Amino acid sequence: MDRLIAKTWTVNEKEASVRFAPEERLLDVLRDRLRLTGSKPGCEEGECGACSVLINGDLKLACLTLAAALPDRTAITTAEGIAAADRAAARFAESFVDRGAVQCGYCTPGMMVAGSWLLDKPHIAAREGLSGNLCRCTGYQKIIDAVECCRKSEAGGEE
Amino acid sequence: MKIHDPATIDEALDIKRRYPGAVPLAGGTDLLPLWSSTGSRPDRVVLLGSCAALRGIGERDGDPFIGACATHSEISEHDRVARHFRALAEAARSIGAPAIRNMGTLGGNLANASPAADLPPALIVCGAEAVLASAERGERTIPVEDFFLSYKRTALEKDELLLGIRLEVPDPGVRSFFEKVGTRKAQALAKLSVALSARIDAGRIGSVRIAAGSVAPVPLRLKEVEARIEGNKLSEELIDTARTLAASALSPIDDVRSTARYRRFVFAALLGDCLDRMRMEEDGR
Repeated sequence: MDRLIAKTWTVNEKEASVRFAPEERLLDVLRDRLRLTGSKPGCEEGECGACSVLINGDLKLACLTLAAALPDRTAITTAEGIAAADRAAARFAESFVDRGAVQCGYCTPGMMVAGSWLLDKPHIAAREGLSGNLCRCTGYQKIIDAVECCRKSEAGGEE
Repeated sequence: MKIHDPATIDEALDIKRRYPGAVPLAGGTDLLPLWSSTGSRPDRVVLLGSCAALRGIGERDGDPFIGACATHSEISEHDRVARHFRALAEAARSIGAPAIRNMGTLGGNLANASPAADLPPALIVCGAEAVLASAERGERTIPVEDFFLSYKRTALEKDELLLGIRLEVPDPGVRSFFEKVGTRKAQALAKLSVALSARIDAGRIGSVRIAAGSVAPVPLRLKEVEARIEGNKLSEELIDTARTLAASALSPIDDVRSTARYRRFVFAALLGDCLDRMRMEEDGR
């Protein structure tokens, strides 16, 4: 058995020291070692976006990230971190609920992470920004509307 | 699985010298799904992400240079790439979806040598050269066109790494284009792709380069079609001729993503679209 690898990252703005096997993905470490189960195993091959996370502010996929490739001090934000951050939290939740953008809910954490990444990127249309996130329930338009609504209220400073 | 995380290119090359079977890993967008689906992992992995010299887009000996670990997002958003090598920016922007483009790299798109890769046709028409290096023999440079030997096989020797791509700023007036068709706009692998680079000089088309992706085991340069349209007036008739020539120049196959007939037909149409775009841009000047 290979020895465990030790890293200290900043996960959702808190320091997290983790030990994991060389073949573990970030998705495995988040869910099984840090018990952050907001990042969902969907397709596990980079097609569905259910495991979307922010790594040093960039939208990435936890299922395609080898945990060992993330150096110490890497900043990781998961769906739990989006929900805890005051700027986006209430707005996203309300907006998703108001517009019926949640049905079974499996894609929702990934949608919220991708949506939060889009908040300061007005040059990327929500439809394009969310194109890597699959939803089998809502038909997308409600989710796109919810994210657009949050972006507008961010830009305008108020609802 | 043993993981090496070298901080410099020299260290990385030394690992490849000692362990030629070690698998280089950058964005992971090709290798991690492969490992999951086959259930087998390499004994040794060399992470490339800590080598600062492999990252980013800059210059080398005065020429534009794109590091092997530059991401598709970086390539598609880079001003100089957009200005001089538009086909490359368009190809990078057509890949996957935002998260995939934030992860996947130039080096992976080349070194995995998928016939459906999007960057190679664009790189070929832009005249790009691949810079390879080994600890024992130093660096060598080969045209991207010659980098692909056969299905998923490249010119990289066991102890070599791809450092990046060298480009030459094109002559004024050169324009390049990229078009692809997949099942849907996001995420889908290409059923076929086409890249074109050319210029109009005194009303005639010159310096023509045409390349095709996803229609053969390796990306193809269509030199016969290039030669037949080179030096002609870029008229509607010439575009029709180019379409006909393109359709007969290819011998694609039926596979999971498309059929030979569809590929031949749509490739001809997309090459026609590129030439149409060129004509409209020239008219609009």
